Parts: sequence; C-alpha cells; structure tokens
Amino acid sequence: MKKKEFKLTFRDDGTIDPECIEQAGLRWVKTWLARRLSGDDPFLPLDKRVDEDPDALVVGLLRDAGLAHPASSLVSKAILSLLDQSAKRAPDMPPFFSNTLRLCQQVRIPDTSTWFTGQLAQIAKAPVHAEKQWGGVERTKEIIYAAAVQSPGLPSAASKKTWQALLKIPRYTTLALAGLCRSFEDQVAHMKTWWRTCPAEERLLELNQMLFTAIKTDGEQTVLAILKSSGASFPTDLKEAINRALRESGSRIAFSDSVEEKYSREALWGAITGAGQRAEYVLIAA
Amino acid sequence: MPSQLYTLAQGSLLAAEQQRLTEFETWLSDINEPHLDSARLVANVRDECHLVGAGRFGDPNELAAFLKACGQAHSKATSEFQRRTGYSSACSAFELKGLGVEQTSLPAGFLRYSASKTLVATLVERMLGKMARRDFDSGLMSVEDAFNRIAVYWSAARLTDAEMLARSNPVFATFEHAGTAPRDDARALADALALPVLLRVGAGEEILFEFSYQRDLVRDYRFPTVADAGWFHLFQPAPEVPPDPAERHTLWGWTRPLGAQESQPEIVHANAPLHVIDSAPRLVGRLTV
Repeated sequence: MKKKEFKLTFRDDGTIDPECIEQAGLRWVKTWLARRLSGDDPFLPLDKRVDEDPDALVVGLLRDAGLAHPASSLVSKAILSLLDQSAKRAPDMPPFFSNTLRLCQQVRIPDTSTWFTGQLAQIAKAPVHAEKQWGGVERTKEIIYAAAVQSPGLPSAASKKTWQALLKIPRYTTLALAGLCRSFEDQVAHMKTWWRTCPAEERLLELNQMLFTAIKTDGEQTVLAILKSSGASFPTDLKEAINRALRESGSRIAFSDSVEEKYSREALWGAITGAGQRAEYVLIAA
Repeated sequence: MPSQLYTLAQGSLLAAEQQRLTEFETWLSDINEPHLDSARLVANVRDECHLVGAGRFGDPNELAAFLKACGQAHSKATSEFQRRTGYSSACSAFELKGLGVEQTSLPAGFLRYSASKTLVATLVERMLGKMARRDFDSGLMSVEDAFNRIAVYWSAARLTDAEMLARSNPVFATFEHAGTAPRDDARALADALALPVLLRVGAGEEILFEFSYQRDLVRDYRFPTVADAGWFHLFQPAPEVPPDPAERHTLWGWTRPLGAQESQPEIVHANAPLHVIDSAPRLVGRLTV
C-alpha cells in the first residue's frame, strides 16, 4: 500500500496548526526546515515580492505554540540538527545556515543552548582559528549574536566566563556586553572594560544606543541614578562621552561636576587672562 | 480563454510533452490549501503572454520551454514534496525572462516594498551599531524607533556590497503613476500591490517599508511573468496587448489589487546592491496589529 504523504493542516483563522507539525515527525520537520531556511519552501511558499524572511514563519510558530508545545520541541531538535550539520561542513556553509542563525537570534530554541556555549568557548579561546573555521569574522559574529539569545551570560550560566573573555576582544566586545547584560545596570558594571576595549570608531555610536534604549526602557531618572552611583570611577573621556550622548538625546547630563565643566571654566579663564584682563573682575562684572 | 501565446506554446509541444503538461496542470489545480488559490495559479499560467525571453512579443518558444519544464519536473517527481519542488525549480529557471521593457518608457524613480526584518536588522547594525541590532531583534527597540533612528544616522557609505535590494532575483518594483497609491497605509498598500504577505500563516508582526532608487542604477527591466511570481496566485499576467508607446498602460505589468484599491504598475529587474537607494528606507507601517 502506498504510504500516505504528510500534509500541513491549518486552523480556521488560516494559521498553521502546531499539532500537525507534531504529527509530521522529526525527519519531515528537518527536511522542511532545511528547505525553508534555504529560501525555498514548497509547502508554504516564500513571498519573493516583499522578500519574506524564511525564518519569520518559524519564529511566529514557536512564539504562537510556546516552548512547552511538543511541536516546538520537534522544531528545536531539528534546528540543533541543522546547526550540527553546518558545523561539520564548515567553512563550507549549507544554504540554510544563515537563516538558521537568524532564527536563533530572535527566539529561544532550548536544545541549542549547549551548542552555542561550545561554539562561544572556542571563539573566546582561539578567535582567529574559530573565524577561519567558520569562514570569516562576519559569520562568527552572527554566531555570537545568536549565542547572546541561546546561551546568555547569566550569573549562574556556564557561558558567563566565556562572555567575560570575549569582552576583552575588541571586535567582539560589544556583542559580549550584549550577551552578558540583561539590564542597563549590568552594562554599567562592565562599561569601563568595554570602553577600554571597543574600537574607537565604534564606541560613541554604541554608547549612544545603550543610553537611548536605557532611557526608553528605564526612564531618564533611573538611568541618571545608575550612572551617578556606579559611574563615579569612570575615566574622564567616558564620562564626557556619556554626557554628550545624554545631551544629544535631550536628556540631562549624568556627571554635572564633570571635568568637562572644569575644563570649560579653565578655558574661559585662560582666554580672559590671555587677553590681558583680570579674570576675577571680568567674570564678576559679567 | 488561454492567451494566444499559451495556445501556440502548448501546440508546439510533442504529444508526450502535452500529456505531461496536462498532468501537471491537473495536479496544480487540485492543491487545496487555504493560502493557495490553485485554480487561479493554473489560470495565470494559461493567461501568460509576456514570457518570451529574448524573443519579441508573441514568440512562443520561451513559454513552450517553460511549460515543458513544468511537465517534465512533475512527471519525474515521486512525492508531493518533489512535485512542488519541481514547479519551484521550473519557475526559478525562467525568472527574469519576461518581455524587456524599454528603459526610456519607464519613469526615472522606482519604488520597492519589503517586509524583511532581516534586512531592517542589517540596516540597523550598519547605521546604529551592534547593540542597536540586538535591541531591535529582542524587541527592546520598536520598529518605529528603528526607522526613525536609521533616518537620523543614515549614510549610504556604511552599506556594503553584501546588502542587496532583494534576497534573490528578480526584484519586483513599482513607481509613481497617474493613478493613486495609498503610500502611507500599509494594509491598503499591500492590497493595492496584491502582496500575499497578508495571508501568511502563523507569522508574527509584519511590517512594510519602502525603498526608492533611480531607474538608471538598476538594469534588465522586464514584464513580470508567472515564473517570476512562482506560487503567488495573486499575481496577474499583463494583458495580451503588444506594448504601444501611445498606450502607456501596455508598457509594463499591473497588479491585481485586493478590495477596492487601484491597480499599481509592476515590473521586475535584476538584483542590485542596496546602495543604489537614494535615501533611508521609509516605514509604511504595520500589516498586523
């Protein structure tokens, strides 16, 4: 007798019924995901006209079903299998690899945590070797983006030390900060190391973003309080950069008695005395 | 009624090839899924009249080759998965083979609409940095904030050759025309462009954003065909009228709008690096609330 072929089934509102994924079995799900994440899904065709992201449907499915659903567990196992296949073939990459990573950058996939912890450890231990193995810095960076979601450096996590090591590698330090920190308070705790390590051309842009998000999420008052209480020992250039970024975002500055003000006072005195005037009289008169 | 081109193309096939084509079309029309109007797909294949490759208007050879490829792939398949993959592959092999559109007949500026959050994430990283991309992916930064900040920090010089207008060939584009387009209403615009993104199943929060770029910075302008549209039944083949400069509506394709929206001009062209765009992309809006 001919074996009945599996077919996706849909709920009344047109969304995929996660139950059918569960019934499909791991083999079918692996084949389907490999195909979809390669950019060609014969069952749920990708909309080329608007560049539909191959991962978007799967992200939606996982969020909709929840991590506890058996369908999510099956998808999770299939994703791990695709990551394993990619690691075996590296530096040649199967066509599904970049979208598999993209998926892992957006939603928790429980089975992949150990895989990412392992990759992260190799990158931190021998970054150049890992980059060679994965085919370049860009791809390695994508793995770290995903690791920040799947294997974050929570206080009790096995990956915490690895993230701390990555914090000292200039090209990965910002990603390490993202992997290590769950809050602005966490970021401030690591900010001195990050500031020292981050390439100069990236620092201001990244700092600007951190403050933008922090003010949006925690509010200006909380952000200023955190900076004042934990940032007192920050180097002068970092304090100045923070003040500048806060000013640009329309916020009050954090370090009101900063050297910036002292410098501008000194510059004013210098200009006045340089012009042959007695600064104390000019300033009082003014 | 099938197009004359289809009739000629189908008639040029050998008997066995015609048989395979019939089997393929029967299979295609029998697919019964909520997101796919398979009868419309078959009707589109039969209405096709601009798939002429390098030939002139009315030349059936390229369409005949496409129909042959569809039938062949179908006859070789032993599972539903392979049958569907076979049609996808036949379409891919005949992408960007619509009748060429004269460059001078097209307006100087093109518009392209995208729903790709991966592309937004890349733009966020290029313009705002790595932390911003993490914030965008995790939802800490809203789509609206992302587009506002991209516009503030926009510098085309930060884009690399790795970022493209579309993930692959062909690039679907539209442009300003004598009619109207609801360019500030994402859902209405998606209807006008007949974007099936609204019908996606199980997807999360969908957005629509707009790129504008100069016609002369891209190449290979063509009528969109069923092969370019692949599985999208909402696509509408251009009517079987030879292009006539005096009748501007005959010079390119038109969308089959949904609801009460107006049809929009539609062409395809070859993919190009994203740095052809002349300003920061504009968020049209959210497709889902």
